[in-house]
Amino acid sequence: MRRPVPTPTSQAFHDAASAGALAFPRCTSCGAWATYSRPWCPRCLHEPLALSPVSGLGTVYAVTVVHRPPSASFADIVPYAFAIVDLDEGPRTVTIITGCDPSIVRPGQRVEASIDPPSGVEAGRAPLVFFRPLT
Amino acid sequence: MSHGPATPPVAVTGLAELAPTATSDRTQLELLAAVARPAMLDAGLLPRAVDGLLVAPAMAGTPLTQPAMVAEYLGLTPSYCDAVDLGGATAAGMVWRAGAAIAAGACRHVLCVLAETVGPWATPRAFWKGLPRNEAETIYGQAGATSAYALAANRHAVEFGTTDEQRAAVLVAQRANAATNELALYRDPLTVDEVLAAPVISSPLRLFEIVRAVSGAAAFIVSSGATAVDLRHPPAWLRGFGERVSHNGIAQMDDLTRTPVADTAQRAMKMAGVASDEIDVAEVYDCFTITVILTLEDAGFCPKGGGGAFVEGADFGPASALPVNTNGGQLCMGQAGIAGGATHVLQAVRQLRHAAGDVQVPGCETAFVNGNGGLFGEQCSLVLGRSR
Repeated sequence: MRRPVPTPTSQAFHDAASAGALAFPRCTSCGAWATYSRPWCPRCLHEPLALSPVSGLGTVYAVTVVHRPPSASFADIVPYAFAIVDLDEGPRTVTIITGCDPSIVRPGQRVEASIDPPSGVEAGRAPLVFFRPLT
Repeated sequence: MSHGPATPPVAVTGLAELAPTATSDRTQLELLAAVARPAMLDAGLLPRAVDGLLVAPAMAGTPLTQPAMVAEYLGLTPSYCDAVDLGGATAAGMVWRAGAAIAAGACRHVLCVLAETVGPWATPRAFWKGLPRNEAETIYGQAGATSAYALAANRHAVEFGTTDEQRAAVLVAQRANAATNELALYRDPLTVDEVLAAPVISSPLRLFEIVRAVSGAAAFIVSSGATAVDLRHPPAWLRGFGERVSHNGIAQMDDLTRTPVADTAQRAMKMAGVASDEIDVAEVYDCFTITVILTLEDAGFCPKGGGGAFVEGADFGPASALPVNTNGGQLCMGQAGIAGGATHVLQAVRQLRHAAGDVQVPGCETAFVNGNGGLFGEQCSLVLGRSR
């Protein structure tokens, strides 16, 4: 799989994940979560958004098991559970549910973040944030 | 007597559609030209009379100044010229934009033309580096649009108990409508069992439930009301429209079982002064089977969550209570990029002309059209009528 290439705006999000401290952009003025990094709050225009720590615990909102890889870089991981996860604190994120048979993943299932690679910052290459069933 | 939105009224007056093919040896411009000429002939207009032009970007790459390039190639010198990009909702969005330009006095006849070439003349798709959607979604293996619609199908099954068999019924009913459509790529009857036997691509969606990317082109002309009545065919009047761009990435959609169609269809019908039970035919965007179920629900043709039961064993044919996608839709025509969504506009116009052949809805007076773009995030609903 490819890895995210941080932009000036998303660098801080990826740096936090790299350090094992998952945090999502949130407005310090109106409290709205932004799903991904942006320069200012798309609800109240407050600038800048700040990163707000999350526990990494969440619930599967929707899931699909991908059988036909969208590109060659996914050919060796099919079938996989592509999912939307709602974090307990509020933000919603897209991920792959790992660490289990993909066919058993269901909406409502409790999951926890699994950052890959788990630690260490590589220049220009951010980690991926997977989730796995909460045991 | 209610009236459409534009003053003076506007109507679709000319149309043409190429039979989609798996690949084409023609260029983008050649496909656009191949469909623009019959559309002008259908309306009975020479290029010098066509003073408006709307084009769409091609998924296979679009250069700068494309509208002028197309205008020159087609022999037009328009006083209104623009590009529209609403994904699959582009054609529907063109109809009211053309009408608004006419109402503003910018032009009288707007040619709307869309094409996609698949094959040797396709150009690598351009995209911006550093897109949040790529960084936050695509990188996790989202299989194009398919995975996003599969997630919606998953939620619909969980919340409302919608079954694989019910989704398959959409395709079965549309195939029956395509049986005599000479433009359709797929005309053979299908059974629910055959749909379910196809391989799963992104669960629960199976191969046949996913629109096929093809080469093709479509064009139509929107004309001022004063001139429309003097052209070759009965005008298909624009009576109402509603548009909404709600999101781009799938994680930005609050509820995967509720699309912006609930808003756009309601506004279009209110503007037209009609209720959903006064619609004679519905031609709705169908990139996937689940899209049709969600659209029929959100447009008010059945209760929210009742879409599965509504389509189960349904006949979408001309004699049914609600004829849907009477030419088989994109699931049978194939999807020629952004041009694919034009087939719903064109089929509605054919129905209102009473020129839809074997699938003509008797006495068709009012048609509902829905265009759906991206991952449910671009919606444009239209109400077209045989009378103003």
